[in-house]
Amino acid sequence: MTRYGIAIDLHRCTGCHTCTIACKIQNNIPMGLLWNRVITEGSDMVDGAVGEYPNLTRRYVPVACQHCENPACMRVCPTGATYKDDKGRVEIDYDKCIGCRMCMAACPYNARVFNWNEPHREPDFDYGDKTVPVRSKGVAEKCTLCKERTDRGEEPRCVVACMGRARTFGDLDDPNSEISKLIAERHAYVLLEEQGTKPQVHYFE
Amino acid sequence: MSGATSPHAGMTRRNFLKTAGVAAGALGLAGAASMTTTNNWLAPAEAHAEAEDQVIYTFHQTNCGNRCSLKCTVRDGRMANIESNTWEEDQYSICCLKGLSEIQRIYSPDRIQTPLKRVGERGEGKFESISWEEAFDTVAQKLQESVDKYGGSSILFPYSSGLVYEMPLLRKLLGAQAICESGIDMAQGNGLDQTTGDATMGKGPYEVTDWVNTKTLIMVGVNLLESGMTDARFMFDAQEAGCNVTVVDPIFTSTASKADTWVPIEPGTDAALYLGMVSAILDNEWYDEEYIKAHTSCPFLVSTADGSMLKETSTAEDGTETATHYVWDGSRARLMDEVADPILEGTFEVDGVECTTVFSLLKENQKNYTTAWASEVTTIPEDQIIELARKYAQETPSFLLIGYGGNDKYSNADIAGHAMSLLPSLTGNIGKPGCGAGVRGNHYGCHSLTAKLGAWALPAEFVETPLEMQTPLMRTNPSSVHTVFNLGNTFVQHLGNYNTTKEWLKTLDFIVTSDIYYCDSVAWSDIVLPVCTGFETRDECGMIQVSKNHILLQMKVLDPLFESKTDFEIEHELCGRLGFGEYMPESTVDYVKAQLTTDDQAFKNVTYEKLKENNSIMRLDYPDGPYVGHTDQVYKTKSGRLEIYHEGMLGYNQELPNYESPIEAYADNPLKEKYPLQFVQARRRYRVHTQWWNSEWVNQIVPYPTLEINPTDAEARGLQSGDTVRIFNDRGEFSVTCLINNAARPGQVYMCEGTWCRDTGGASYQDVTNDTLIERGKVLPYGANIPMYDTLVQVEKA
Repeated sequence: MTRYGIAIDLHRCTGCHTCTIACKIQNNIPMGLLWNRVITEGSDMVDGAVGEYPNLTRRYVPVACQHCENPACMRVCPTGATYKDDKGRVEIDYDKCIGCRMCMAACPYNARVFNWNEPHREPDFDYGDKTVPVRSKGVAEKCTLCKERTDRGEEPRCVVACMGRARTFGDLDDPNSEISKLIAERHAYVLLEEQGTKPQVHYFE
Repeated sequence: MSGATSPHAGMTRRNFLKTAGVAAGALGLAGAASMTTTNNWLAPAEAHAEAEDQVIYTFHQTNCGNRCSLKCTVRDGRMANIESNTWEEDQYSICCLKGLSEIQRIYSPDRIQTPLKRVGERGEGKFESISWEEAFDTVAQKLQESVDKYGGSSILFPYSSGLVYEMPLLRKLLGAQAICESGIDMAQGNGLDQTTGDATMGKGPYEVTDWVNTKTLIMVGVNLLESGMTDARFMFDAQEAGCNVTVVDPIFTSTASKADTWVPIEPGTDAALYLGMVSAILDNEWYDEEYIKAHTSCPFLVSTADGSMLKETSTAEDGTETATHYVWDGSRARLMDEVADPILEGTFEVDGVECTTVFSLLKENQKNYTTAWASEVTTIPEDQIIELARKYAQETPSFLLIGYGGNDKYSNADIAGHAMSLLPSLTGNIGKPGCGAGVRGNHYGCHSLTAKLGAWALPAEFVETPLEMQTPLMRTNPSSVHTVFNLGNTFVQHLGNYNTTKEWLKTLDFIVTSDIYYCDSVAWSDIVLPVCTGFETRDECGMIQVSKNHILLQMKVLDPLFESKTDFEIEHELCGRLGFGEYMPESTVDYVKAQLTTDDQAFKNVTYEKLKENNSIMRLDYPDGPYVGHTDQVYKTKSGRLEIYHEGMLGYNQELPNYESPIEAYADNPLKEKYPLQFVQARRRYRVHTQWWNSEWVNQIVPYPTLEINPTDAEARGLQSGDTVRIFNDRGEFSVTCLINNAARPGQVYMCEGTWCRDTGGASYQDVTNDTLIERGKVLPYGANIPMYDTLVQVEKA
């Protein structure tokens, strides 16, 4: 089996949001929505800090769909629109999505966004990879692990765009892949392990 | 207020359209009935799912210090995707959020769409749309009038650093003055470059890829991970290879948070830190005695009576001056090249004149600058200063990195640059792998530092008039300038104390501005010329650039949007009208081909056609591996050595670095009773100077400018995050949203520089900044710096 995932070196994440913007352009994401956010941990603002000057720390955590092995979103989807595909990615069949947003409530990572209105784009035309399906009003969407790119054998756009080379993409089922080795050697962890969702996005520092 | 949904405080663009008192046509929106907004104009008539993708390679034209090569996808005549192009040195194949978000900014509603003519008072911002014919005729006539009445020197071309074509031919043909004002961020170079002889703050004689060989990397006042984003990976590679990184900065920046050690420092006191480190190195004898004897001015003899140096000078045919200095060989003074082991310290008599050495003078001078003193001034614990000096001197190779715009924006920047230059000079951390001192090489550096492009030749009689004084001085002193041809947003970006600038602008005969967007300088112009972005050209290509061992070509990606034209086309049209048509290249292709005609062997495989075939990027013919400059330990100073004693500064008591406090933002300034906070305009990753404030994609992450303030200072003023605050002093005031951030140093408030007036209550952040130029600026290589951070303010809820 193939089980794609991403490992992120948080020391190499500078919080620059280039992955956010690269994801937006690649996937034709409209204004008001983002699939990939960069959180300043422990702070309610971008680029805040934790502690009291000068005893401060700051850590950026990029968060998108965790492509869980046991996805909470999939279990609550009433139509089967959300599914786990043969490469281990969590995907959405937009034609089957009825806009109930149960998945959004269930996802502990707040990874999903919803098209409340007709998508508004600036510039107002479809951009990015033209093989990416265009979503309409009333459907949920989220990181696809760049399904179109990874199907072509390319890495996800956030991985190639990363300024600090923080991200490694690969097959978690292959013990010899770079990602599997990194996770083992760098003692990587997952977000909200207690939720039992078994994310395929791993973090280490 | 039609901009009710806008998060911006104060005036908005839409608001401006209404209040301007004229119809939408006032901003050049007329002339094409369907073009009422950029969105309507761009709206597809039908679905374009079947459109063919066209891939075009170019480079990103901006002045962040990088130069990203881009792969652009055009669909249906529109920019549909931007990705990084592939460099032969693949570590440079990258593009940050600003480059990618150009896909929106190209189509921004802030684009100037047609030429404009002022209809209100200068600064009022009332315009009407005119034809290019009228615009060209008017500008040509006004330029000609200025030349006829006062001569070519009466025209000044101030230009932004973000341009790749600053109308160089027109400037020369007119004999005008021209400058990208260096007073804004190059002042540490005033000290550093006098020691090393290098250009512009040590730019370039090393590569950041070489940091994997560095053991100790000290960054002072440089937020590399934000201002040099494409180099982030090289800092992490270095750390993984065992390099220890220290960041010295008053603000807990992104870079500080990734360093092994963050050293907070009192703002504007970098010179005191360096002087303290020098004392630690001298006290503990951590200097490299052999090195300083052979490669620095330490053994040079100096008259104790007047501080002059004992030397023989000569001038070559090309005007280059060289100096051979006298040193003491143990019994007498001899020329430096004749003495292998000169005496470093002592007092000697040479032909009846009492002499000592530079090193003796330095040791004596440093008695004023003990580590305890440095600790008091900088607020850095004394043992930390000593440890930093020890690491720098002993855990080598060491690299000392500064930034454009750290200490440069305080009045004492030249002293900081001079004091800093003593550290590599005393320890030999220069000219070896893993070593360096100065700003990062950015795209000018690497092996290609020495690259020599050809040029489009003009007859020898056409030359620019040398700049008669720094542009800030032109505002308050008599000068020849009556006409300004402004390229970019220079009136805000390049000058402090905006009210003084405005008074000057009112006195000029004629002002023309060419820009892409409706920036603040536009409002002060009589004629406005809409320039297209670097992605749009009339001709097959735009310009070329040498960057990081490669040559990059800017191919045409899009036709010029709206009625905009390239800088080149504007220059071409004006030259034709002024009777200079015969001297001009027909197209940018001709111009670029002239540049590629060069004797420099690094370009031997490069032609315009080959560049096109190679996706607009080729590596030049250089050796593999990182560039290490000065390996021969020969410097471009008159003596060929590192000259730590600046004889030319004798009249200013700065032949050796003598500490001065910042001019306004110093600890015990009585003005602090009224204006207790220091105001910094820092550089952030989301913008480049005045650019990207109108990027809706970037604004999705950080929606508007904010003044960041420490919780203690906020509490004392009853401020909450999100409050609109007034920032004011005797110079002026502006307003902006406040954000409480622990990363801000108590007593200091900071904002990203380059904000637009519409986001800051209709006034500019430059309304409050300090523009006092130091006296010794007259003799400094880059002139006096504009001490914009050297500014005290008060902040209160608006």
